[in-house]
Amino acid sequence: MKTFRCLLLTSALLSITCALSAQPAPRQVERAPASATVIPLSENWRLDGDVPVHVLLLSLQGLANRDHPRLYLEYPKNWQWEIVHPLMGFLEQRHGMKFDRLALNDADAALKLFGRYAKGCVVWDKAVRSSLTVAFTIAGVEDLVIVNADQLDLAARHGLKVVVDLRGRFTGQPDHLIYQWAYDNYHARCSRDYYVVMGGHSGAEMQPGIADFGISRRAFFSDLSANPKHPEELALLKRILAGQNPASIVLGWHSYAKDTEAQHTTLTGNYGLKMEGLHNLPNVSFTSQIPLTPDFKYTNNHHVALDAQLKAEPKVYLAAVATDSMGIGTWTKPGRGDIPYAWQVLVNWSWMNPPALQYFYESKSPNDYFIGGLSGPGYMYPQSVPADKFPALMKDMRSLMAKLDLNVLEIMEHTEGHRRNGIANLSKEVGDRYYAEFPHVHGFINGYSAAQTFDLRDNRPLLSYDYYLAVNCTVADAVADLDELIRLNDQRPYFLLIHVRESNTVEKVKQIIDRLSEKVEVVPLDIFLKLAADQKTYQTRYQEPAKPQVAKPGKNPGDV
Amino acid sequence: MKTRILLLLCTLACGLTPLGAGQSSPSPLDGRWQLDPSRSSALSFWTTFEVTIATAGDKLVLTRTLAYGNRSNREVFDLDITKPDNVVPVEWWADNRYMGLYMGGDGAKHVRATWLDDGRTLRLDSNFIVTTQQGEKAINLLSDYKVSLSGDELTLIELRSSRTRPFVYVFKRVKS
Repeated sequence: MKTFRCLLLTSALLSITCALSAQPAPRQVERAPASATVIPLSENWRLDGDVPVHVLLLSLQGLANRDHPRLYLEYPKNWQWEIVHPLMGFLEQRHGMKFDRLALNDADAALKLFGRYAKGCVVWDKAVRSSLTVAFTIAGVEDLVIVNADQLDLAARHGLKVVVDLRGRFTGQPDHLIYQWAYDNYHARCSRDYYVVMGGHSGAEMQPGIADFGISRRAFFSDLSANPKHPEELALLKRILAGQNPASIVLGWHSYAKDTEAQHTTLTGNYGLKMEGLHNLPNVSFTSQIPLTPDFKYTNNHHVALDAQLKAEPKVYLAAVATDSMGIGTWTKPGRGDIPYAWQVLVNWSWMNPPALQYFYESKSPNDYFIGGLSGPGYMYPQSVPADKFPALMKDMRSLMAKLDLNVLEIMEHTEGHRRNGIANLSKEVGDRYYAEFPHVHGFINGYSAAQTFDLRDNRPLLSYDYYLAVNCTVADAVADLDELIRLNDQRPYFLLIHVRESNTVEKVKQIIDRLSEKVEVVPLDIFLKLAADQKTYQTRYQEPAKPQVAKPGKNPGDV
Repeated sequence: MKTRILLLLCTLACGLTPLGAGQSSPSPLDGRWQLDPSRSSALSFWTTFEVTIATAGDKLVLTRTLAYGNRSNREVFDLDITKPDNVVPVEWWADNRYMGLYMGGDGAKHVRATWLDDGRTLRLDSNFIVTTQQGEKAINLLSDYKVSLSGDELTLIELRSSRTRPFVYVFKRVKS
């Protein structure tokens, strides 16, 4: 009886703890604030440079923005997320916001304005890089601003006393012990809806743009490795991921120094979680609270109804798709609008960054067509997701695609160990899953580089990219490549789907198309898929089970 | 007899090595060669390209290694110039990373090797099958490995039957 009561009490306490620590989805304000503060940040992202002042400002931003969007950070012009600057203009014009600008990296002025949202400070150890990552966790859980030893006077001037001092605590320790300490002391009070992998740039550099949001949500931060060569880190990381709520979000990016994108994303998929990059995604604590304007609805450029039937002619049809992602890529660069072009939407920006999505949707040209990706509601590899976790994720995705008016789903399969020779093919089992979960789409596209998976069921084609346009590929080389593909795929119609790596401009793609030896018809992706449904000149193919590579010498193909 | 001598003189005059005759002395192509990217066609994805050649009479082994970071692919051509069809198993077509073309058929390149230009050019005439989205297609690839007179530079010109532009790769000898 005593044991039973004990168990009951423990269970009740655990439930209460979970309920207290679970964070709700970001609340949006009723309308964008009339004004907000903007602080420009320098281009120096070195730990021995301006990272200390940047993380002080990021932690302050996370705390100050917890209940209202007050502080926006203006990242440098060369920041990977180009959307930072156009978005400010959009907020000013569309939401009538005014930004009160402080000086570059002005922490003093920022603390004067927003220091009251902090209860003190946490001091990270300049000699231990990972102590800074631990400090992100502590900042969110304890409402503290992050400083180092050089900034203590500044903090003190603003009445911020040291609450947690990490100096000397982790000297000489490996990361798995450092994060174990953080786990033991803080994880119970961290969100089960958000975990931040504070990776990306490593060593002397750090670009923790996502930190403000993680802090505002009281997320646990680490850059634990998903690489099996780091078993202790991997074990702790698995423990953390296993404890997150089903279908919740993993923010940030894998560490460039420890593991690979495929390893980390495969692992998050194994737990049915959604990856949402990158580590340097800026201002989410601000943008997640800004609603869409009342007069706006997500409207895509549809060229054909879902149940339409089109007739394909004996031609080469070409569709170009830019992914990875709109916020990084060439939306504002020359050529957009000149030819039909598909853009993969970051579907989670519907709640992380609604104003950015509204900006894209409102500035689209008639030739811009939006599609959903990657593989699901976030970034994931379907092969890595256990079958029982797949339906819940895809239910989320269907809901997001309906909200964002998207009728095509892009799939990318880079599960660690699944690809053969780098080719992102789908197994038939995964193909079956997508066909079952998405009955109301034009079809699916697959790959990152070219892939070999093709199918057609119930008028819904599944087409892989036949070409990947790399950033450093010259126009002449791309023309030669595409001419070769067109020559070899000599049945008509031929459906040539191109994945354009994000920093290639639309202008460059048009130059390539204009120089092809054979005339092609560039069509919007929805029309492309409808035409492909009409004439199946592509052969059904999925990844076959691996078999021993033994050449069975056949007839010399050169013999006539 | 006279006819045979005349035939031999003719083939020598044309710069062709008589059929069945291998390299009796070390070939000027023997050795290790590293790509000079500034003077070569783009590798698309790969960042380094190395070729090693070792000849012994009628036999030669030519190895092509493409690499990017810690990823690499090695293709070994174990050839007999007396054979019109040397079967070279190829796991995957590493030369092409970005196009939807993949090794098909029997998964092998069928290669004939010929010496030209007094043994200063090695020509590999390869036939193989690729898989496209529409099915299998046959491809012929002519690869001419030409060594400079100084012996320090190797130029590879590749002409693919399916492609309108050749690839040109210039290698420098790696001195041991």
